[in-house]
Amino acid sequence: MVRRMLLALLLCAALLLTACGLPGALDAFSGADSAASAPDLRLLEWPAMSAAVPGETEAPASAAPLLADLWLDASQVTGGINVHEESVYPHFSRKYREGGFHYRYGSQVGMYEGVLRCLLAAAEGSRVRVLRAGNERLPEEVLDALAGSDAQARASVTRDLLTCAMNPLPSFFAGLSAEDMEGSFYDLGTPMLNRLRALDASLLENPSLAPAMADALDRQIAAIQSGDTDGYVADGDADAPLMYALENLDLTRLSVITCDPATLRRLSSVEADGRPVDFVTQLLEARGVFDAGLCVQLYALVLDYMGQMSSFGAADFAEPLLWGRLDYDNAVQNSDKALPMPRTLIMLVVGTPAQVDRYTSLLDEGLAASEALKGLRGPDEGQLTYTAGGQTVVQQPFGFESHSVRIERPGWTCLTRLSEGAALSASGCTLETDGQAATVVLDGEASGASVTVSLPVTQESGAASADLSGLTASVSVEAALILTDALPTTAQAGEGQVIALRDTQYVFTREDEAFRSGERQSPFTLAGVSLEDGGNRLTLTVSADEAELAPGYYRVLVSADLSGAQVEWEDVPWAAGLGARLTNEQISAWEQFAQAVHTYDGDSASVPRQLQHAWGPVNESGYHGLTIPDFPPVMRAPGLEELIAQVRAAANVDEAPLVRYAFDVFVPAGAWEGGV
Amino acid sequence: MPSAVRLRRSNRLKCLVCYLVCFALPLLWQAAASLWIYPLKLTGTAPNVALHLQAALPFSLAPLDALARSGEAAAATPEALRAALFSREQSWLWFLAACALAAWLITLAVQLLWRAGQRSALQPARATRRAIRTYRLTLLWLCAVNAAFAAVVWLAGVRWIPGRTGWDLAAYFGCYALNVAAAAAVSRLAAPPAISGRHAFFKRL
Repeated sequence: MVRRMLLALLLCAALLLTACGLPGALDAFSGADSAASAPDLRLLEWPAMSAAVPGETEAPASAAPLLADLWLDASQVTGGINVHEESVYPHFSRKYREGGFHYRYGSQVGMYEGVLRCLLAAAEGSRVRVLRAGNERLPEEVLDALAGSDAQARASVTRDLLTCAMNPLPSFFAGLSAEDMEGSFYDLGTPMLNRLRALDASLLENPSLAPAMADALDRQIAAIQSGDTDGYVADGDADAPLMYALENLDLTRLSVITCDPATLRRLSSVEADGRPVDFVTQLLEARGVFDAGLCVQLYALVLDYMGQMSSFGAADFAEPLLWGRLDYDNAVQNSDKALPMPRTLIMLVVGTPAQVDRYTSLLDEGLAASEALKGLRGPDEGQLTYTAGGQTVVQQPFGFESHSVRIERPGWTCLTRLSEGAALSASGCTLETDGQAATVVLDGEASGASVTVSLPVTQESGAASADLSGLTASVSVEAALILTDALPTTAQAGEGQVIALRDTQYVFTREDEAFRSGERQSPFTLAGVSLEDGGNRLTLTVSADEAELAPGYYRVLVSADLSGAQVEWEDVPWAAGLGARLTNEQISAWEQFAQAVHTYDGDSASVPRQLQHAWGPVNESGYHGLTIPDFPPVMRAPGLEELIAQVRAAANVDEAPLVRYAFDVFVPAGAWEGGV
Repeated sequence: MPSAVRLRRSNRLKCLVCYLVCFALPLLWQAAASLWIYPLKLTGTAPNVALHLQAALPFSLAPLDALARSGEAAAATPEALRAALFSREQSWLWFLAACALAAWLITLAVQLLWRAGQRSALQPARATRRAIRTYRLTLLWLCAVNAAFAAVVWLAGVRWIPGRTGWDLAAYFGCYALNVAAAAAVSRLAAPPAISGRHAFFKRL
C-alpha cells in the first residue's frame, strides 16, 4: 500500500512537471494571448535625443580688436600712369596729368584718398597693415630662397614683402598721391616698393627675414628700373593685383582689397581639354576662403579719375586712353582746376561674417559722412566728351556712389526637430511626445503606418534663395536597438541589453547606422516630399514596412540636402549698370585705333585736337581713313558681373544640409501586466 | 518488554520521519518555486499583488498602499520600470511564501489535532471507523482551506499574469496540493497505534 501511494505520488509529480514544460498544455489555465507574454521593451535603455542644435557656433565677440590688412591696388592704371615712355601725351604738363584714382592737383585730390581714409577709420582701434599689390612680382627662385616651397610660408613672406605701412595715420595716403606720378606709389618698380627698412621689423610676420627681404626688393627695383622685367612683373591674363592679393591673403585677418577693374584682364579661360576655368573661383577655392567660414563684401565705388590708361581689361594700348584732364585755359595758357571723369573701383572686404559686419557698418557710415566724398565733380561746362553708342556724350558732373553685395556660403538653417514650427504627425500608429522628443509607436498589427514631418522653410540665406521644387530627401536609420537573439534563461547572454521574460532571455543589440550596408533592407522609406502652404512648409512622409520591423527602437533620420545647383542668388541690379562686358572685337578695334594714333601722331609735338580727351567727340570723317570706334567704357567695371558670379560660385556648396529631423520609432513586443 | 520498547521507539521515529518528509515537501516545493522555478521559468511576470489586494480590501492599509505604489513605475524610464518590476517580484514572492506558509501551518496544525484525537485504545474497531470518518472530514476541510489559499493567490495575482503556463500552476499552486497530500499521507502512514495496523486503513510503519 505504502509503495503504491509513493509510486502514485511520484507519478503525479512527474506528470505535473512534464505538463509544465509543454507550452499550451494547460490552455484552460493559461487564458492569455501570446502577444501579452512578450517582453516589455520599455525596459530597454535607449538614449534620449540631444537637445543641442547641430552646427550651432558662437559668433566671435564683435568688440574684439581686428587685425586688418589693407591691400592697395598699386597698378599703373590705378595711378593713371602711362607706361609708355614715348607717347602723344606728356606724363606731366599744364594740361595732362597722371594720378588715376589717386590724382592730385593742388589741394584737389581724388575721392579715392577719402575712401582710403574711411577704410582706415573703419578699422580704428585695430592693427592695420597696408600692403602694396602692384604689378611687380618676385621670381620663384627668390621666394624659394626666402620661404622654401611651403605655400603658406611663401604667402607669409610675400605679405611681408608687400607691407608698406603698419598702423598708418590717414596722412600716409596723402603721400601716395602726387601731381607728378614718377616714382610714386603706383609707378612700376618705384622705390616705394621697398619699405621694409623703414618699418619696425618686429611687426613683420617673418622678422628674421627682414634684411634678406629688403635686399631682394632692392634687387627687384634695380632690375625693373634697368628694364630687366623678366620675372619681375606680372605676366599672363590671370595675373592681376586682385589675384595676387587673394593668392597671398591671410585668412586669419580681415582683408580689404582695392581693385581697379581695368586690371582684370580675363577672369576665365578654357583649358586645352575644353574645361572652362574661372580664375577667381579657382583661387578662392584653392585658398579655402569660404571653407574657412569667411565671407566677402564686394563693393563697387564710383569715384573720380584723371589719368592715362595704357590698358583696359585685356586691351593694351600703344597710346593711352586719356580719361580726365586739367581744365586748360588756352587764353592764359594755364590750368585752373582738374576735370576728373567717373570710374568704378572694386573693393573686397574678406573676413568672418562678424568682422565684415562690424567693419562694413563703420565703413558705410564713414563713406556717407565723409566730406571728401560729398558734392559733384567733373566737367560742369561740357568741357569733356567721349563717344558711346556712336553718339557724343558730354560728361556731366557726377558724385560719389557706393554699392555693395554680401557673398557668403549659403547656409540655410538646418531644420531639425528643435526648429520652431517643426511638427510630426503619425498615421496608422501612435505618437508619443516627451518634451521635444517624439516617439512613434508602431505596433505590429498596424498596417500602412506613416510618419509625416512638416517643417517651416525659410528659403533665403543672405543674398541667396533656394529652389526647393526639385528637392530630394532620404531617410536612414541612425541607430537601432533591435531584438537579435532569444536564449533560454539558463544560457549566458552575450553583449547587448537583455530582457528576461519567463524562460527566455531576449537580447537586444544596438547597431549604429543600421541598414546602411544594404545587407538588410531598411523598414523605412521616404514616401513623398512636397511643398505646402505656398512653398512655406516642407512636408516629408516616411512610411514603414511592418514586415521588416523587428521589436525595438529605431532612431530615424530624415535628411534633405540642398545642392549648389538649387541655390538662386539674389539679383544685383547695380552690377549691370556699373559692369561692362568686353568683346575681343571691341578690344581689337580699340587697340587698332590706339596703334594708329601712335603711328600717325606718336611723334607729334602737340596733341592733336581730336585726341585731346577720350578720342574726342564723334568724328564721322574718321582718322586717317580708320573708323574711330566708341571710346572704351572705362567708366564701368569690366567683368564686374562675372567677378560677382565667380565669387558666388566659390562660395557655393555642393550640398548644404537643409533638413536633419530625427525621431524615434518604437516597435513594442508586448507589455507587462497592468501597464507601467 | 525490551523488544516492545524498541519497536515503539522505532515506530515513533518512523512517524517523525514520515511527518518530516511529507510536510517538508510543500515547503521545499514553495522554496523551489521561488528560488528556482520563478527565476528560470517565470521571471518578469510578477503581478502587482499589493495593488490588487488593496483594490480588493474595503479599507486602506498604508504599508500595502506604499507597496502598491512601489510596484508602479514613477516615470516612463527603464530604471523606474526595472525598479517597479523588482518591487513587484519581491512582494509577489513574499506574498506567495506567506500564503504557502499559512496554509502549511494550518494544515499541519489540523492534522496534528486530528492525530491527537485518535489516542483512545478502547473499542479499537469503533475508534478506527470513527477515525476514518473524521480523517475524511478533516481532509475535506483541509482541501477547502488550501483551495481557499490557492483562490486568494489566483485572485490576487495569478489571474493577472499574462501568458500563463503550467509552470505558473506548478509554482503557485503545487504547495497547496502537496499540503493536502502531505496531510493525507501522514494520516494514513503515521496514524496513532490505537487505530493503525499492518493491513488496516491506517498503516503502521
